[in-house]
Amino acid sequence: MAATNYDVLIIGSGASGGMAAYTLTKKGIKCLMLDAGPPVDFQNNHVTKPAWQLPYRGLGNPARLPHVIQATEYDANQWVDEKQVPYTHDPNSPFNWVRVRYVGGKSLFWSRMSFRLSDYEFKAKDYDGFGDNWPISLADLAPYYDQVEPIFRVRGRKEGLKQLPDGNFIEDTTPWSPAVQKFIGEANKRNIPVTKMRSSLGRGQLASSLNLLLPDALATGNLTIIPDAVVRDITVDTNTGRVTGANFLDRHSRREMHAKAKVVVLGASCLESTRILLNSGIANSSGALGHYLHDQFYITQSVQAVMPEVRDKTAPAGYASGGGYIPRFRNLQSKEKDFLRGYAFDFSAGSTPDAKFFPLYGKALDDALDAHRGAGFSGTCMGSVLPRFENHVRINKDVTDAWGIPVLHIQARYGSNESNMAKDAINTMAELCKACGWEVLARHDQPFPPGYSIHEVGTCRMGDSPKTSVLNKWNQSWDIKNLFVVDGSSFVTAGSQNPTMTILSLSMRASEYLAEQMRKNEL
Amino acid sequence: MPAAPGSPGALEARVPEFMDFLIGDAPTQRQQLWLSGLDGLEYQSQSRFRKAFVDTDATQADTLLAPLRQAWSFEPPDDPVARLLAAAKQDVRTATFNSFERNMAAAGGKRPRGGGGLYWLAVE
Repeated sequence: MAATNYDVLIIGSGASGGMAAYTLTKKGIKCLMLDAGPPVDFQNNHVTKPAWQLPYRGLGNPARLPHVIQATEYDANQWVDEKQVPYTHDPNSPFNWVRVRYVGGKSLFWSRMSFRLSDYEFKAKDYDGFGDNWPISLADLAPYYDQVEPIFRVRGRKEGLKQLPDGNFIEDTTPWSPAVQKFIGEANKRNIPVTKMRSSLGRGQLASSLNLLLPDALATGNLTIIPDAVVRDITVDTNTGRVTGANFLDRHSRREMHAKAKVVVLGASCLESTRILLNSGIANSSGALGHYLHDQFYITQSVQAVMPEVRDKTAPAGYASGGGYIPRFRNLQSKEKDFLRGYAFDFSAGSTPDAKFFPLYGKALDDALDAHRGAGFSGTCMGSVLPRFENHVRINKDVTDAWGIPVLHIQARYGSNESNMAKDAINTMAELCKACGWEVLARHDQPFPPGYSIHEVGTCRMGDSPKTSVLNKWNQSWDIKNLFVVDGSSFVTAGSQNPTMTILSLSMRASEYLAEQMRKNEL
Repeated sequence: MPAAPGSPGALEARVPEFMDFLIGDAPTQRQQLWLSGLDGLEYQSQSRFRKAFVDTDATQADTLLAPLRQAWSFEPPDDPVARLLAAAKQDVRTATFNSFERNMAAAGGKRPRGGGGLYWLAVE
């Protein structure tokens, strides 16, 4: 099967690889897709189980997945086994690399928050002088967001905010609950906007490459998928300098094979794509490959408040429910704080605060939880992280994974910009809660380690110059014309918005360019 | 985690045995947290009340468990006993809620059926 000569080899089947296949195959281009994981029958791959039947009563095997804080005993099998595919980091600067190896990738499990970036991100340097601009602007990407959003069925409400561009939405017409209205009133008094959440509805149980992109690509007859294919490196013709395909191992037998194609598209996820390029020793004349790793810092339950008007079941039904989103509002007009850029929040009203937040135990704690049922308000802070050269990944030749492939060493640390931002974010949220008359039960401004948001981007960035970037504005390697990288590794700066819609749109845009170049015989 | 009518507490739900099993499987750091925390609690009990913690009465135990009445902090407390109690509070509650005994009591004494979450099978 792998001996056939394909037009395009796509490595990875998640959001970016899936979108490349979706776009290219519709234009008649023969694609071969490799994914390191097995195909998954989403309907039949899970069973309903009560927690008492699980060996660890839902607490999870304590020795498994030490870096995946969000893993539970229920979903432990979703994530990549860290013993099978390890990575290294300095013990004092942990990085939580959270991975999925299934056909469909992380798009099987994402939280579905669906935003556009704005020119505050694409042209970030123009606003605050830090780092670099993207080589594209919102106007370049907007036509692709316009096409991606209907495929994923993004629900949202048009708000007319420059920092959170509106999309091609299924209109969200749900009303705000009275408690949220009160919160919005206090926020707006301080010029802080609040929007409805923007989220991919998808179809059925999924909003994934697996159900929204790959079926259409397969229906063209132009896509072949080889699952369980662990890519070691990309092969190069030493005479022409062009890439010729990839070496991969069968996940089970570890038999090594080669896939051949005229063009290679990497969409293996930010850090896996970069790992493959570093292990191949290509596409790095700039020296930027592996660098500028960033994400969003996350502080979940950064502020936990209780609404006294809901305590002891005193509020009318529906008073406190639902949530919303606070888009970035800091440093939009001028530099106004002791940090660059800004943060977003998502918040929800009507939950019951976690037991850990009450300074009680035993019966007193049970009574307090009973009294505060549905009286909780909490917000998760999502802060933009500055892309810095020194935050990087490199190959650790001393450690290999289960297939003998050298692993990544990840070196990333948040700095004072992030910690100052976090302090301001949590102060602002606590102040809003107090202004609503709510009691702040707990607050903290310490982010989880880098990587936790699973929004790692950068390390293979686009740019205007081959001296400072790995890819040009079409996600095409400056060094090797027939090599494209279409996932989050191509980001220049991430902002505070979740990245998936941007990854999908970039991949669609790059794939259309690739198809056109192939048609013109210019690749 | 006391029992309430129709609702077994941590002891009835055999949480002590379960915690032995859980911490036995845990990495050294988490085992150390439990060992030094329990040692500290026992030491405080002996030096203040000249008896083992398990033999203290409710008032004495309440004095020793004072860290559980401190405000929550994201960074775990430095004091080994306070650190253990913060961790144990979460684990003991979850282990009790998710116990067979508690669920059986909620199902009126019959073997509980249904409920729970979606468990992901391993794909090989």
